[in-house]
Amino acid sequence: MRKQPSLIGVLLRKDLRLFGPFAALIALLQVLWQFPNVVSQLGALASYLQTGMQLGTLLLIVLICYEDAVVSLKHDWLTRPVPGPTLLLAKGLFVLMAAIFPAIGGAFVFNLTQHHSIGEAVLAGLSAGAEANSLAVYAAAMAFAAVTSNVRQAVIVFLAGTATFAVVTAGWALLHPDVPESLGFTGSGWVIRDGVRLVMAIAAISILWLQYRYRHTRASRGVAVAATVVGAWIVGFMGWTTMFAVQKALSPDPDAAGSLQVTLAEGCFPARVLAADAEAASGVSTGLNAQRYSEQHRKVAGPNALAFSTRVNARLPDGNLLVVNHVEARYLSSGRVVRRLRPGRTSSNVMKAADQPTAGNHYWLLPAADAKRLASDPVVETHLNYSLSLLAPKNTAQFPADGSRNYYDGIGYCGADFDRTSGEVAVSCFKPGAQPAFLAASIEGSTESAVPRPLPMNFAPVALDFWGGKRDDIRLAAHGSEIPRVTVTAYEARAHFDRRFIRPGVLGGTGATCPLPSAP
Amino acid sequence: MCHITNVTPFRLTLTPGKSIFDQVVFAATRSILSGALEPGQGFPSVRALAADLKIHPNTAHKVIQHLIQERWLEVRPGIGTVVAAPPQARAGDRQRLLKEEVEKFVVEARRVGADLDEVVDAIKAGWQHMRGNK
Amino acid sequence: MIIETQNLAKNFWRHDAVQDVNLSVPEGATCALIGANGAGKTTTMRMLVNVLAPDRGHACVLGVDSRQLKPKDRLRIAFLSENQELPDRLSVGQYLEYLSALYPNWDRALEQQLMAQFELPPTRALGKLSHGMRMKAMLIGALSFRPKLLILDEPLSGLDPLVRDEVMSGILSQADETTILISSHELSEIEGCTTHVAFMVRGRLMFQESIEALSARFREVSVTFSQGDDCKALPETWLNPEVDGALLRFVDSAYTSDDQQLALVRKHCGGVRHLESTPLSLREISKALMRATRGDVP
Repeated sequence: MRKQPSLIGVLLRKDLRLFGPFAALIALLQVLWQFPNVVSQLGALASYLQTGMQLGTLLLIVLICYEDAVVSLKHDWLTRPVPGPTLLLAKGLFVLMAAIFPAIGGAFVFNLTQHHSIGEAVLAGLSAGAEANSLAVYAAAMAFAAVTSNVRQAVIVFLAGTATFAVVTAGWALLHPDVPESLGFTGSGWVIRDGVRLVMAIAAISILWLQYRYRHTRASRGVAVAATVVGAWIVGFMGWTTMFAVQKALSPDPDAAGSLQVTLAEGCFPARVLAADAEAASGVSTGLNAQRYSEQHRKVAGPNALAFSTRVNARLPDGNLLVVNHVEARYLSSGRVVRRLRPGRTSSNVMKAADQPTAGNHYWLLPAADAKRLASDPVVETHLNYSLSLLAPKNTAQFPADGSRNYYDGIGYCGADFDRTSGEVAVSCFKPGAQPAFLAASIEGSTESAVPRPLPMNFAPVALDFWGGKRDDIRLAAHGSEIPRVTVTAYEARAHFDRRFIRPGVLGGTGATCPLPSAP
Repeated sequence: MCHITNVTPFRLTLTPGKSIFDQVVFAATRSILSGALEPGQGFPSVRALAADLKIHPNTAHKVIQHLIQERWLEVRPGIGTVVAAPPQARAGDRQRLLKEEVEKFVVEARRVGADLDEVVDAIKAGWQHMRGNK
Repeated sequence: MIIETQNLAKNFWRHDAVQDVNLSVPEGATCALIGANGAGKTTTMRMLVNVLAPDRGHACVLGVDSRQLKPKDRLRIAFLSENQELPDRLSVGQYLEYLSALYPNWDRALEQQLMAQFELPPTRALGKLSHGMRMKAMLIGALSFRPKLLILDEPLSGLDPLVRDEVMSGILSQADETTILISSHELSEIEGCTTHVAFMVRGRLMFQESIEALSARFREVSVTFSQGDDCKALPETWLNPEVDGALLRFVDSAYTSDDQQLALVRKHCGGVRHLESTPLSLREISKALMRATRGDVP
């Protein structure tokens, strides 16, 4: 029998003959996408092109696999001297050549055009092209093609699965009406992202091995369904408590949390009743007005909802930050939970030692009927649960905003440009591998600092984070005409913990002490 | 495009009941006797015979071996298998044909109810047919 | 034995496609696998090459259990089915080039000889070939590495008579070097080269024997009785009996000799005025068997 490398070459040559033009197109798009300056020229077309490229890549992967389908009774390769694992390698190599290597190459070249060092270009190229997400999704696509027999069946299964997921989540939302929370954007969002990636990767590898080596279709399909269910649960139904439980289990220094003083403001919670229609702020001193809440939140709460606010304070060691990841209120009556409530959106959830009192403030909306019911219960208690993370500064880098770029330990390759006319300082950092929990930049001499958007927090453990890298861009405003000096600080998470505050009644005290406000 | 091959000059319509080997041998010998195949003419190879008559090459091989053994065909080195001059009848052949074979034939003829005149006419016609081909 | 199966069985969604099949094909044989559509021939053949895994029993092919067939075993086995999925966008030449790279034992000269013999256009895409040309291309892909075992699933179906001839010639040209298992409805075409016959009905193998033995025991019989029809309890080996006044016609599947047959007829039916018994072609035997087993309750 022919040796494996030559067999792989033969199979690749055949597939290139069949899919060369399509693969070349995908490769070209993948390269193109690593040049943001070119992409931005495309304007509105860009997002369509990106979707097209992503779908096109998945289609190419799936077609390549169907060409020598595993779930089949009629494909030629089944009776030819082609070992299953060799076939799998050949298909995998094709995907690498068509989708991943071009992306790596494109990112590498782009970095070079930005005058980044070779070292940064290589690492940035690898992290952009061989992104964990892409690898997991491509592997999943190959696995999907390995348990279905043709494109039509794949489309049907995919649509059916998506429809089922949509129906189930909609049903769940109907049964549990509440303000939707985007868990993925918290520092613990990695639990969902890496959880799904891990499930996808493990499932894909198992399926591909089961199918290409043994053609155990039933077992493979079982794995596929189980993985899909688990993945869907992680994405749609995991819930904060489970997610943060995982995070707390990985808390580096739980003792640091133990000694931290976090207090809930004394006295009744400021409160008022929100009339049905949105009104201009009156009684602004408490800051409780309709604008605090999103339209959806007000809609869910209904007319004449009870709006109230809570405040926590913390005594933090110098330079440390306290992140309020998530807050939840539970109303208990004789030990039984009778209502759960979550607050509206906040502008910032990072508390600093020096200032930022707003980070500790939360604004709540309790539907009128619930407020009345709870207030009339003499033994009701309010349990406020704060999920917190203590961050300490770990690495600092200081450099002038003159375009020079260097590698800083714990922060990565950083540099900044200063635009004299607009006074804008554009800081750009690339950190290969494990990311800091939090990154902040400031101008020397100014107290104001800025963070990268849209995902400033990352509490993922190093073990899961080592693959890839992240590019962060931070914009600051500088005054004066001199080239400012930029300070970039990387924070590490020291502890993840929950703090609970229990108050009688609904508004921080019994019905007599803190009565409900009357409707306006 | 013309292929220069030794094409099998006889057809074979498989009749059930007799083995293929017997049928092919009979067809070949009839061709030689009737003059369709002349002495010195090339005889198809095993492969060609098998392909032309749609029979298994092993059967074709057996046929050719038998015909060589019975001296209907001979092997000429460098040329291949060629038709030989029709072999001399062996001593007992004539006797066997005129006595035993005829007896078998007569019994069969009477069984199917043919009368003597029909039978004689048929023999004459067959004889003429062969002579005409010479 | 090149092929030997033991109690081979396969179910599809509570439908027993193949049950209890014990097939044996000796080396050098050309075995015709015959049976009505849906009898389980294709499923059996697919199990022999491990395209399907049997549910029960096992099959031994070239001395290897079919479930353990390694790629190196496949260097000696060729499988051809009329509805194979081929890389349709490749040309004939490109497809054969790809195959030749898979087999170290590929015979280029034979490939080219067959290409010339079949007159195939090497630059035309497989998907654009007529059904006949496609079969011929697949046949070259199956014969060029001189397999020890050739399994052909309906290779002649849907082909016009000329192409059928060409395909048969192609198969026969290698028949003395290989063992062949062929299923086909074109029994008159394959009868000439068949050495063994295996007959399947509704998933079961009814019998397998050499074609000489099969031909020897089947006769079409036509009996005229002296006085009317007086037959009682006809033997089971008399297939598809038809009675018309004093005339009885049937297919005898256990013929041994004229005398024995006459005696049996007299025993079951009384006085015989005239009995005629003629041998049957493979096609006619197959038809008689299919008719006889059509209404069978398994």
